[in-house]
Amino acid sequence: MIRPALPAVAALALLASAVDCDSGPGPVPGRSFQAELYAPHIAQQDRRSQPVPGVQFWDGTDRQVDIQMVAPVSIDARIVDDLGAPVDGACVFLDAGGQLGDVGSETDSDGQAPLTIVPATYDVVVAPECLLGQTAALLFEEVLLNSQSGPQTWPLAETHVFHGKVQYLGGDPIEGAVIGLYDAERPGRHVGISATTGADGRFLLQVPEGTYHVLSSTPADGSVPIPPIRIDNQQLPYVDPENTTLVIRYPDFNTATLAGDVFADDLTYTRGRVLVEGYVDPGPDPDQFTGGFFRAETATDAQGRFELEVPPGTYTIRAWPAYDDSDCAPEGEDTRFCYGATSEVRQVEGGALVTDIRLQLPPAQIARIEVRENDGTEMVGATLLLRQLTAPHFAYRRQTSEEFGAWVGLLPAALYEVEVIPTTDPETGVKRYARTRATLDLTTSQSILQVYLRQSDVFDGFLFGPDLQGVPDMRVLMLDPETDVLLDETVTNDDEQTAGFFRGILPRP
Amino acid sequence: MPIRRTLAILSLVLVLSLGGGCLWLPEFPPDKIDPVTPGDTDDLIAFCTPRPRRREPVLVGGSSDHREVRCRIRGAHTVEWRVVGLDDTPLEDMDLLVATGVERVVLHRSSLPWSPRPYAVELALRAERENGGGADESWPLLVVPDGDELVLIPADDEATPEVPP
Repeated sequence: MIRPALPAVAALALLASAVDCDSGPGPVPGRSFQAELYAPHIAQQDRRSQPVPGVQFWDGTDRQVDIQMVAPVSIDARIVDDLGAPVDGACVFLDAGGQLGDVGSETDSDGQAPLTIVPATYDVVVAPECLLGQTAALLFEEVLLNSQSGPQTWPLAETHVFHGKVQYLGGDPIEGAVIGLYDAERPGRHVGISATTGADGRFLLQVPEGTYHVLSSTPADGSVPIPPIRIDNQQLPYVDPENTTLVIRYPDFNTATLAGDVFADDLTYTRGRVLVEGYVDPGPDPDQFTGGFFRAETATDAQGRFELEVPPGTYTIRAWPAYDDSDCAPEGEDTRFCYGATSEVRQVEGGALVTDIRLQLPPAQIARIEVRENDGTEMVGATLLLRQLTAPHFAYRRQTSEEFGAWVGLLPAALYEVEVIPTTDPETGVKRYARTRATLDLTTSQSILQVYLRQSDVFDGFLFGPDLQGVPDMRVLMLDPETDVLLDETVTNDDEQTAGFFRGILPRP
Repeated sequence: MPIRRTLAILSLVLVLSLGGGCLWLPEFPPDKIDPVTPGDTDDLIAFCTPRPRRREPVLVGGSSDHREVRCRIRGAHTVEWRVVGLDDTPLEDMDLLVATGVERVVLHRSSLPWSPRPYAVELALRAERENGGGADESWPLLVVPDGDELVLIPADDEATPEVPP
């Protein structure tokens, strides 16, 4: 009785598998994607935002792609001062590159900084005054934080006095110079100590023992027209710190005045930012001053005017418009009121009064962006997210319309990244195409951009945790692993039966 | 023996089928339910990263010259992202609109106000429904300069530690 059943059972099982393959999405070409996960709310510390390590692969035949989240770990971190007392209000920044770099915390009155993180090796920056005061931040490099790490105590180092003075070669003090300290081993890293010189040109800082680059510069508004001077490799504290002063000497600059207007078309443009940056000429005696880089920012006044005092040198003066939207042109009006950025280079002698700088902002350019399905059909209703790829990096949202079969309108002259969100099937709401990205160049002239959507396939995914249970209500971003282009996004199911399931769509390779 | 053989064959087929991802069993795994968006929340703004409304600031600068801030925004008629100054700071009057209609912004240090020292501002997100009502989120930002951008020529000659006689 049983013997005849053997082939029947096998045939049934094979039939079952064959039926499934026919009813599934494939076979279609396999493809890879990277997954990033985001929990919905601030309170959900146990499911903090995190990428999923590695690249996911959908072979195009399987019913679904299973993705396991990495178990986050909670780290008890404590910040104490050099005497072991807890430090309240200190910022703790963890940096592991990429999306892991967004982690931070702040200590409470017990010096505790709760951290719920993905296990990884982090660079830890402990900043007692969150980089805004006169207390140095400490860097702890390559700290492995995982479930075996145990409680962490990060002590602040003892600090020592550091006297300094900024003055001209003739001895006159320079008031208002900004002093910043940088890590000599990582010259780009500000250690979180800043000071402004007083009327006597002096500054006083408390620094942990270490080797620093000390940088003196003009404040942000350029009100003290001096270039940055960096004094390298200062081993602090000095042998006799109370009686030793670092003196930074500047030549007496015969400053020049840069002034002008920011215009748009024939109208005075009244809103915008002006950034002046460039090389300061070396002094007459190169042993005294070898040249430097000056940078300052100001804003136009109500008449579009700006004025800045600078050391003699060669400068690029950049004007950035204020953000404006509404398709750049009000309905029924010819005026274009959004503009691109512009710049002009000027060489100025010491003592010069340059008042004829006229920065004309380039007018908006007409763009036409067509989104086409893979059969060439124009897609109406596709969303276009446009981001400028150069400063001031403004971003806009547009949509293709039935009127033109595309989006047609004005945009500030610039280079844009265009992210296309295709429409879903109007009847079923099912996605038909993955997102895509293109570049639109409107820097010098109007432009037409045609974006062709790649044939795409839907797959099912299952997001589960270390306990093998589905993880509900997580936002899943699916990205191209090579280009980081966002291909699709969705949220995992949150009902009891199907928690953790999601449906995504990926373009064919 | 026949029963064991049957079970063995079944097991083999089962394993092979699962391995190939082709075995269909009713209700296993459960089918995806559509639509799932926007989840079970009516929030206009959700799934933000970095997390908003936290005490510690989001760094712009330092290890990276830009920082991306992203949320999921659904059902909004208008969306505005602004960088605003904080009270009692030199930038307290600042109110820079940087993006509209989008779910993410990329904040570049080069596009934010320049300063040779770290400064704090706030990134503010406002989403409004067409028929009224809306939601807000905010992030404290800490913009940190890069020392390499400020100085091109080390100038050891211009300073010396001095000990008064």
